[in-house]
Amino acid sequence: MTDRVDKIGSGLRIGPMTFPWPRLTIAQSEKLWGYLLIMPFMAFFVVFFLLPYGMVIWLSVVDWHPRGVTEYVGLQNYADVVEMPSAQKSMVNSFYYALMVVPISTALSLLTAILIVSLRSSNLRGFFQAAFYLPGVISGLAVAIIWRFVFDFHVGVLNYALSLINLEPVNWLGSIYAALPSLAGMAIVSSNGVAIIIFCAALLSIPSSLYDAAAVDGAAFWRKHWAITLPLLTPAMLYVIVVSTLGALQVFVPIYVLTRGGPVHSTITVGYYIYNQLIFYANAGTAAAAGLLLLVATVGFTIFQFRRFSQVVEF
Amino acid sequence: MQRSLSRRDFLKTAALTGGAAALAACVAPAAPGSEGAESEAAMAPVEIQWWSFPLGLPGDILPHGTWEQEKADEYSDMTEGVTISYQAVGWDSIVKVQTSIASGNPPHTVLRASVDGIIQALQSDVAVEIELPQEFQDDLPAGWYEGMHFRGKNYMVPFYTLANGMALNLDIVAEAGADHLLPQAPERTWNFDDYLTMMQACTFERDDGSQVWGAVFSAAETNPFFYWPDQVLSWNWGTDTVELRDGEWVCKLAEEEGIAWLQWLQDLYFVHGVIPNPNGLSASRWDYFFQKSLLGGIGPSIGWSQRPGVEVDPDTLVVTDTERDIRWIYVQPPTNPGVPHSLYWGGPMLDVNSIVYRAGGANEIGPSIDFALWLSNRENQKWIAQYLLPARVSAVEGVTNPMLEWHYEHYIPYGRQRASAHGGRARETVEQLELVHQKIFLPVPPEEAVQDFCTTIANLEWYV
Repeated sequence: MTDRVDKIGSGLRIGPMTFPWPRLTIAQSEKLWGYLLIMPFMAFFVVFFLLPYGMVIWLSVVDWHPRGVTEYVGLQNYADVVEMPSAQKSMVNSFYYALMVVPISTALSLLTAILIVSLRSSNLRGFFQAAFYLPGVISGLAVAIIWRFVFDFHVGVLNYALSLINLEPVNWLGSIYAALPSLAGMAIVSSNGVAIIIFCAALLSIPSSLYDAAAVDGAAFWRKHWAITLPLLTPAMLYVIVVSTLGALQVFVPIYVLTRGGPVHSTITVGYYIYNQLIFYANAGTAAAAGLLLLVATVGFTIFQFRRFSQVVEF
Repeated sequence: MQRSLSRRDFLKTAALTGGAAALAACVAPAAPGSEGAESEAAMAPVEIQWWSFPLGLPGDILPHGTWEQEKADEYSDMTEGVTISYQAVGWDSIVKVQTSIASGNPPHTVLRASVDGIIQALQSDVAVEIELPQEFQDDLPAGWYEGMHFRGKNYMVPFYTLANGMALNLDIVAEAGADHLLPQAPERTWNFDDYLTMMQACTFERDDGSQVWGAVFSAAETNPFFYWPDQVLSWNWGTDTVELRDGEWVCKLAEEEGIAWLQWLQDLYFVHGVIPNPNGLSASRWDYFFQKSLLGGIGPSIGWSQRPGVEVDPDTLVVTDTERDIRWIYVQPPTNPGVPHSLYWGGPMLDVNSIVYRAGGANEIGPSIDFALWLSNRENQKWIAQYLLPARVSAVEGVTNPMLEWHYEHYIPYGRQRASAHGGRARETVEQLELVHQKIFLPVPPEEAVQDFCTTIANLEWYV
C-alpha cells in the first residue's frame, strides 16, 4: 500500500492515476480547516434557514397547488393581504399591541431594576432577580392558560377583585374594547424578567464614583438617575426596546390560547392571521406574503429604532 | 489551479452543496407503477396509508388510534403483499387531508371522511368511485346507500351512523323543581318556548355560590366547526347559514327566520340571562356539563350512553354516569312551527365513512378499497356496535337495546350534515358564522351582524 500512496502535498497517487493536490501553506491549511469546521453549521444554516426563506419567498408569488397546477401569480398574494380587511386589522392590532406593551414594559422593568439594585443585601437582590425572572422560564402556553382564569368574566380573579370594591365586572377578553389591552396587560406583567436582568446588570456596571460625585454636588435621587443612570443605560434600553418590539409584533401564543383573534377580529394579530391562513384555509401563498410583509415591517421598525436612538445612546 | 478558496467561493459552494443535498432529500420517491411493466407493479408489495379521525370510542379504555392500529396490524398480517400504515389524526384532520391532497400526497384512505373530502378529491382529481357489494347495500338502513351518493355516484364505504341529539341533566332539572317541564316520553318533543322556560327554570345560583346555566354558547371555539350544535338548533328553528336555491348558494341567515334566530340567541344573554357571555368564555359547554353547572344542550351521541361506567334504565332511558354522578336523558331538539320533525347532526354524508383517494399507482386503488370494505365487515361492525351505531343493520340484529331502538326511531332517520358542505365552502362559512356569533353578543343588532357574513357568502366561489 505504501508504495501506491505518496505523501500528501506532492500528489495522491493510486495505481496509474494521479490526483493533483496543491501544496498548502500553514495559513492556507488553517483557512481550509476553518471552512471545513464551519461546514456542518453552514449546511444546517442553508437547509434550515436559507432554503425555507427562499421557499417562503417563492410561495408568496405563486398560487400553491403542487399537484400540477401551481401558477405564478406575481404580487397577487401581497395584494390580497393588503386588501383583506382581516389582514389590515391584524397589522393595526399588532402595532397597537406593540405600542402598548413596549414602552410600559420597558419603563416598569427599569423601575423594578433600579429598586432591586438599590437594595443593600446582595442576597435580597439575587432573590428578587430570580423571582422576576422565573415566570420567564414557564411555557407561554401555560402562562396564557393561567391568565384565562384571571380574566374569566364569571369566576376570574380580576372581576372578583372588582366586586370587592363594588365595581361592575369587565368582560376582559369578550369586549372589543378590552380584549387587546387585556392581552397587552398580561404581556406587560408576565414577561419582564429578561429585561429586569439586563437592566440590573447594566445598572451594576455603572461606577459608583459617579453617584458619589453627584451626591457631593447635592444631587437628589431623581436627579442622579436622570443625569447618570438613564444616559449610561441607553445601550441596554435600546436592546430591550428592539427585542421586545420584535416579540410584540410577532405575538401569537396568548392570542391563540385566549381569544382566537376575537371578538370580531379585535385581537387578531399578524401572527394569528398567518396561522389562520395557513392552517385553517391552507392558503400558503397568502400566509407567506403576510409573513414577508411582517418581516419587512419589523426590520424597518428595527432600523428606525436604531437610527432614532443611536443619536442618544451613550456607547 | 487556484490553491485557496475565497470566502465568497466557499459560501457559494456551501450554499450550492447544501441546496443540492436538501433538494435531493426532498425529491419524492417515484410513484409505484410509473416505471417498468404493469405486471411488475401489480406484483409489487403495496403500503396503504390509512388515516383516521377520532371515532368517539371511550377514550379512557380505548385511546384514539388503539383499535385502529390493531386493525391495521391484523389486516397487514392476513393479507400478503399489503401493509397498512396507520396514522391517527385529530380535529385538524380536514386541513391535514386537504393539505396532503394539495401537496400531491394524499393518504390512500381516510376513516371519518365526509362530503368535504369528496369535493376536495374531485377538485384535485384523486376521487375514487366505489360500488358497494350488493350484500353490503342490502345491509344498510333503508335509503342510506342512495343518501351517500354525490352527484349520482358513490365514493364512500359506510362505517357507522351518527345522530347527535340533545341531553338534559336530570339532577339539575330536579334541583330546579322543573321535572314537569321535561318533554314527555316516548317522543320527547318540545318547542323553543318550552325550551326557554326550562332554561329559565334551570338558571340559578346554588347556596354555595356556584352558578348553574340553562345553556352555554361559545363565541371563540378552538375550531369553528365546533359551532355545529348551534347550527343544529338553527335548523330546528327553521333557518340555516346558506342554502342552494336555483343552482346558487344564498345567504339564508339574513332572511327573516335567520334574523329571528339570531335575535333569540342574543336575547338568551341580554334579556333572559340564561347563558354566560359567549364572548370571553373560558371553558367549553361540556366542561360546564360535567361540572354540573349546565342543564345540557345539543351534542351527545348515543356512544355516551354505551360507555363503561354508564348505565341506562331500560324503561325510562335515563342515563346514569356512575363515575361522574350525573343522570341525563336524551330529548329531541326543540322545533318551531313549520319544522316537521327535529333534525340532528348526522346522515349518510356526514363524516362517518371511509373515503379512498387515488394515491400512488393505479395498482394501489384496489387494495385500498378492499381494506376499507374489510374495515366495515360484519365482524368489525359487531364490535363497533358496543360503543357506536354501526352502519350495517345486521350488527345490531337480535340485540335488545331500548336506547338503540329510540335512536333508530327518533334520531337516525332525521340526521343531516351541514348544508354548506355541499358547496365545498364549509370552512369559510363557519369562520364567518363565528364572527356573527361574536357580534351579536357585543351586542350588535342581528341585521347588522350578518352583513359581512352575507358579503363573504356572495363572494365565495362555490362548488355547486
